[in-house]
Amino acid sequence: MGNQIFVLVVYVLTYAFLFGYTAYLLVRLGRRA
Amino acid sequence: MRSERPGLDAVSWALLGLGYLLLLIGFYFAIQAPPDAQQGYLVRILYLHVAAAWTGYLAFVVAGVYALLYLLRGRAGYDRLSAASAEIGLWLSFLMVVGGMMWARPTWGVYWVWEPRLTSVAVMIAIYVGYFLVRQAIEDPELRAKAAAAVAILGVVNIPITYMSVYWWRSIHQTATIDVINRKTHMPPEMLVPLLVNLFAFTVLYLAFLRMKGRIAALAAEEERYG
Repeated sequence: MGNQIFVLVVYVLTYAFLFGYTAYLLVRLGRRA
Repeated sequence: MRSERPGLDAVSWALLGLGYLLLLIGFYFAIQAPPDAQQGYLVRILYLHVAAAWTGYLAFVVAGVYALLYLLRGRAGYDRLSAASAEIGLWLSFLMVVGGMMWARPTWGVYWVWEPRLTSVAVMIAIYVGYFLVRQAIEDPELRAKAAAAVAILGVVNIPITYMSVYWWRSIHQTATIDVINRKTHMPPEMLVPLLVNLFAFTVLYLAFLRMKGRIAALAAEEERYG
């Protein structure tokens, strides 16, 4: 069970990156509109 | 004349939508997958770690192909796409390393060890950090693009070394789960499915990011030219 924290960290970080990067690109594209 | 229209195009929207849908399905399969006999639930890290690693390699190879196209044809658009792909590849590689470290700590007892796979990955990341240092350092756009292309092509040479490091040297890192050389998989279907779905999701999202970043760079270049 103790190892679950490592799994959680990886999932949170990975999804946070993907959402964050998508948002960043959308904002950058939007600004050029 | 301006050729690029601002905003997000239909293909990018479609790729983003499909990518996130697949990511959601991949997450569902990942939490449904049984724990590994030896690794327990830690095996779930692998579904994202391998997907990030694979798309990172893909992004660097694509960056190398566009770099070569730039050197052959001299069109600035190829240089922009090469840089866009290298940037996404670098981010994916960081994700892959963090995922790997989080897996290594409870499995090997350390976050990092200088063994062949990890060392060749460190070299790979250093090359692409160098790629962006080169881009930052040179002001002349043509010279910058040529120098960056040389680094991007050098980087591609290192990719097979990184991939094959687990076979060529004595490594504590696992060999490939999906062994493309011997066309074998070392996984039961209930673990292979979440891995493949995540792999596909990351690849589609990578394509969406590349397209969006390429457009941003093209718009920026037009703005610079026409004000």
